[in-house]
Amino acid sequence: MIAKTRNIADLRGLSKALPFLRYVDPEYVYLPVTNARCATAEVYVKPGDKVKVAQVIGKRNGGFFEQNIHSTVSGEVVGIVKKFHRSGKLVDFIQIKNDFQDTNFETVRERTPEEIAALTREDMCQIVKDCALVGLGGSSFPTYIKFQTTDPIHTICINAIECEPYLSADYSLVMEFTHRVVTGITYALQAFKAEKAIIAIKKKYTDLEEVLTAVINRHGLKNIEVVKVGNYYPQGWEIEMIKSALGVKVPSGVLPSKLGIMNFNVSTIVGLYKAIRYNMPVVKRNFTMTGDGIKFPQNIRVRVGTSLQELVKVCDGYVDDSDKVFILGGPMMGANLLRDDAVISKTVTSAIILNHKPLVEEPCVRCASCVYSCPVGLQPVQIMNATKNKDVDTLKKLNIKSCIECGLCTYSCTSKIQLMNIIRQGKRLVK
Amino acid sequence: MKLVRETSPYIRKKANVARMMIDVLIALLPVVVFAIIQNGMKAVSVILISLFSMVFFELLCTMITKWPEGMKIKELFSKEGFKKLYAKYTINNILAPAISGIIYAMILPAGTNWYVVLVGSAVGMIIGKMLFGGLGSNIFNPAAVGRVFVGICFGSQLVYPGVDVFTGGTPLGMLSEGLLNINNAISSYSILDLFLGKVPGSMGEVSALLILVGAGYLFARRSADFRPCVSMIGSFAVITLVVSIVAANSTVFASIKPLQLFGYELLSGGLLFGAVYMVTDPVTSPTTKIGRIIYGVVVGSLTALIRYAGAYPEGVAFSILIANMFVPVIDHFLLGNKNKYNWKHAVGIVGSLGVLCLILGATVSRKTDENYNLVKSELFKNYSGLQSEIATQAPSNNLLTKKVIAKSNSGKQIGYVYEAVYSYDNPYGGTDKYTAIIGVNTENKLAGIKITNVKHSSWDEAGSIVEQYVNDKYHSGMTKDDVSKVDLTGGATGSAAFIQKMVLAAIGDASSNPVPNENKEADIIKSIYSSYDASQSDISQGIVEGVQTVIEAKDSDGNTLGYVYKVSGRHEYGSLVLMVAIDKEGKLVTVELVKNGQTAGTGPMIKDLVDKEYTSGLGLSDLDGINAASGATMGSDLVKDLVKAAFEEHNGGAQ
Repeated sequence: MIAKTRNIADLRGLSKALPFLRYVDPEYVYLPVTNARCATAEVYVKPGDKVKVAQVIGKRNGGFFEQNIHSTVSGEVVGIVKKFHRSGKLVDFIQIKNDFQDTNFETVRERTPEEIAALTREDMCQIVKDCALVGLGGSSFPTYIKFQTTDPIHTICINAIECEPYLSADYSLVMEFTHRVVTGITYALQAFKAEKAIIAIKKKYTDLEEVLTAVINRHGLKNIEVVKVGNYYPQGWEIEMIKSALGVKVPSGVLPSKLGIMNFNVSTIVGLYKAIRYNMPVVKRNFTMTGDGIKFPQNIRVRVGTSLQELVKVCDGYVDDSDKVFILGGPMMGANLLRDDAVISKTVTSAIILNHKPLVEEPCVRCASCVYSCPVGLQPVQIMNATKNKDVDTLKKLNIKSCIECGLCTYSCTSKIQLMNIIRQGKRLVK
Repeated sequence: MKLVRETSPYIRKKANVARMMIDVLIALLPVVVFAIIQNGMKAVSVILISLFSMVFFELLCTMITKWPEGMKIKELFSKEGFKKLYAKYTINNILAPAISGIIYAMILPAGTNWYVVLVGSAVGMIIGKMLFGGLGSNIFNPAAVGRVFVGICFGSQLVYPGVDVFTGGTPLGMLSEGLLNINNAISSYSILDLFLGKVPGSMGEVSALLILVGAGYLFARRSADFRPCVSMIGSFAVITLVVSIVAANSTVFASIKPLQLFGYELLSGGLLFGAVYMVTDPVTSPTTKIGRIIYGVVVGSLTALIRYAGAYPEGVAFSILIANMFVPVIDHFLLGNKNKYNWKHAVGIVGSLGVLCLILGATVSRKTDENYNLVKSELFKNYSGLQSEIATQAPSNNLLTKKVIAKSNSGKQIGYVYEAVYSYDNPYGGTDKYTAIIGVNTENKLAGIKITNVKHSSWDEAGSIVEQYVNDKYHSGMTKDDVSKVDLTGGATGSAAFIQKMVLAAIGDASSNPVPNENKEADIIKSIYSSYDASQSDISQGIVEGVQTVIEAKDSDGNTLGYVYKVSGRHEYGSLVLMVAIDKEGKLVTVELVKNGQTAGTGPMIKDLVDKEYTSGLGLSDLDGINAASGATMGSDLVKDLVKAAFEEHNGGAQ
C-alpha cells in the first residue's frame, strides 16, 4: 500500500467493554531499587522491618534528580530479590509481604480545600517530588521537573488519547475516576496559573466526552474543554496531539512549555490529584492485560509492585502451549520480555501477550510506504540503506535522531522488514 | 510454551508486496484480454513466451545466486536439496517476473518472432534485473530494457500489422513523418478510435480506455503511486499543448487544430501505458512524493523531446530507462526532505518545463518549414530532389498568402509553390475558409494542389468532399485553359468555384513572373538522362510495394532511355526515399537521395554511401558486394533493399 498509514488495527474490543477487575491485594509486592532513569539507589529498610503504605523505604539517584521509593502496601520487608524490570533488565527488587491492613504512613493526610487553595507552584513541586510522581504514560519523566519550569504557561494539555492499539487502561481510568481527573486538572491550572486546560480524547470515544463534560459542568468549570482529536496513530505523540488539539506546530527539539503549553498524561493527573489531596504516592494503577495469547483479556486495577505472573493467573493463563510474544506497554512501542517474571511498576500501562507468528522479510521494493507513513517526515528506507552501508554522514543528513520510534515504518512495510531495529542500529552508529 | 524475542512494533499491517503485485496483474488484465481479442493467437504466443521466459530466467538466476554452498547439482533432484533451494524461492520470485513479462509483451507488436521475444526477455530479466541483485535492487525497468534492446537489434522485425508497411506503423509513426500528416492520420484513425484502441500498435498500448480502467483499479487499491503517472502525463501534456499551438500557428499549416493534435499525441503510442504500468513501478522510482513527481516529469519531458525533436516516433521505453538513471540522483538530493512539497520544487519543475517548451517550440517551428518542403516535393513529384532553400517572394494576388520558389537539387528553378486562402461569408451565417497549397511549374502548368484546410460553418464533411473533388478534377500538367474549363459540378458547386479561383490566381501569378529560360530544362531526370524530353507525358504509374512511382524516360523521338523508380522505405529510426535510374540493359544509371530521413548522425553517411558506392553500370548481382557504412548499418541495408526492389520491379515490370 503506497499511502500514508495512520489508522492502525484497533483491537481494543478484547478488553475495553469488560467490567473492571480489582486485584489490589497481592500477597507480595516487589519494588524496583533501580530503574531505567536511576542507576544507583539507597535502601532504608532491612528484612523484617514493618512498613506502611506510602512509607519511604529507599531513594533512587538519577543523573540530575532523585526519587523516593515508597512502599505500596503495609506489611513486612522480606528482602531483596532479582526480578525483571519493565525495561527487560534483571534488577534488584525489595520484596514486601502484604499484611492486608492497608495502614497508611503518617505522611498521608487529607488537605482541606483552603490549604490546597493556598498552594503555589513551588509548594506543589515539592509535594510532587516527595511523592515521586513521574509521567505515568510510560515516559517515567519526573513530574516535579515539569513543575520547575519558569516559562509562562497558558494551556494545560491532558493526553487521554491512548493511541496504541489494544490499550484501554486510560479509557477505563477516565470512565471510573472522572472526578479525580477533573480535580487534578484544576490543581495543575492553579499551579501554573494557566488560562485553560484541554483534555484530548479520541473522536470515537463519545462516552468519554459525555462523562467528562458532565463532571466538568457539575464543577462549573468553564476553562476546561474536551477536545476530540483523530482516531489515528501516533496521535498521542505530544507534538501530534498539540497540533491536532490546539493547532500549534511545535518545532522538533523545542519543549512545548516554551510555547506556553504543558502536557500531562491523564494517569499522571490522577497521580497529581492523589499527591496534592492526600499526599499519597501512586500505589495503584489501571492496567490492561490483553492479547490473543491470554485466555481472559481485561482491564485490572492493580497494586504497584504486583508480579506479572500473578496477573497472568488472574487472567486464566495463556491460551495454549504455542510460542508467545510478551510485551510490556503498547504493541507499537512497548518492551519485549523473555520471561514473565516481571513486576508492575507505576509506569507500566499494559501487558500484551501475542501468539508468535514468524514473518519472512522480503527484499525492499522501495514502495516508500514507510516514507509516506512516518509522522516525523523521515525516510526510513534511506536510513536503512545508509545504516547497512554504515554511512554516518548520510544518517545525520536524514535526521535520524529525530525519530520517535513510533514503529509505523515497520508496521506499514509491505516487505515485512523490521525497519525499527535497523533505525535503532543507525542511531547507535550516529552516537 | 516459550516467550520469543521480538522487537517493537509487534503488529504488522496486512498489506504485503505480493498483494501489490497481484493488483498490478489484475490491472493489466483488461489490456491483456483486449490484446488477445484484437490479435488472436499472435498475441497469445507473444504473451506466453514472454511470461514464461521471464519467470524461467528469474528462476535460473535465483538458483545460481542462492545455490546452497557445497551442494552438488545432482542433490537438486533429491528431496532435501530441492527443499533447500525451494526455501529461498518465494511467491515474489514468480509474481515480479510475471509482471515484467506481461508488460514487456504488451509493449511489443503482436506476432513478433518468438526468438525476438525470447532474446528481449532474457536481456531484460538477466541484465536488466538479476545482475543488479534481483527484486528491489534493479535500477532499470526490466520490461523497458528488454523492449529497447529488441527495438535496437531487431528494429526491422517489429512490424505493426494492419497498415501499409511503407506509410508507417502506428498513428504516431504517421505523425513522425511530419505534424502535417495529422489530417491523414485523423482520416485513418479518429481520436475515438485511439481512445477505444481500434488502431494498430503495440499490443497493450492501443486502448486508452482499458488502460484508464486498469489505472483506476491500481490507484484505488493504492498498489501504485498516482503521482509519477499524473506528473508524467501532465508534463507531456503541457509540452504537447505548446507544440500544438506553435504548429497550428504556423501559416503553412492552418490545417492543424491544436486540440486535435493535442488529443492525438496524448492518446497515441505508449504514453498512457507507460504512465500507468511502467513509471509507477516502485522499485525504479524515487522514494519521496516530490521525488516521484520529478521522476514523472523527467519521463514525460523526455518522451516529448524524443517525439517532437527525435527521429524515433515512440520514446516512452527510452525515456523510462534514461529517467531510471536519474533516480539515485533525485533520491540523493532529497535526502532529509520531509516528504513534503515546497515552493522551490514547484519553481524548479515549472522553470525546467518552460525551458523545454521554448526549445521544442523552436524545433517544431523549424520542422514545419521542413514539412513545407515535403509538400513541395509532393506537388512536384515528377521532379524530385528539391533542396531545402526557400526563397520567398510577395505574391501578386490577394488570394495568395505565401509564395516560394521551388528549386531542384542542382539549384535550378522548377516552379513556384503558393499558399492560397479563400474566405467566404456564408449567407447562412459564419465564414467559410479554404486553404490550399498549389504548385505551378516553369511552364505555368499545374504541378499539384493539396487542400490543407477547409473550414465550413455548417457542413462538417466539407473537408473530405472538397479533397475528393480536388483529387478527381485537378491533376498535374493542367494549363490555365484546362483549369478554366474544369467541371464545377462534381463537388460542392460553391467550393469548386473558389478552388478554381485560387488555382487560377496561382497560375496567373506564376505567368506574370516568367522563369528565366535557362532554368526551364532543370530537373533530376534530365540530369540523369541528358536527352530526356520533359514535354512528353511520360508517367506510367505503377505503385507497387516499395516502389511508389515508375517513370519512363524517353528521348524526343519517343524512344525509351530507361526507367526511374521512386522507392521509399523505413526502418525503426527513419525513412528514405530514393530515385533509382536503371537503363534498358538493366544496369544502374544512378541513385539519387530524394529524402534522407535518417538521424543526424547517420544521414550524411548514407548520402556518402549512395554517392560513392552506387555508381553507374552496376547490375543486380553487384549490389551484394557493397559494404554497409559502418555506424549506419540499418540505413545502408535499407538503401540496398530499396535499390534491389527497384531492380526487381524493373526485371518484373519493364521487360
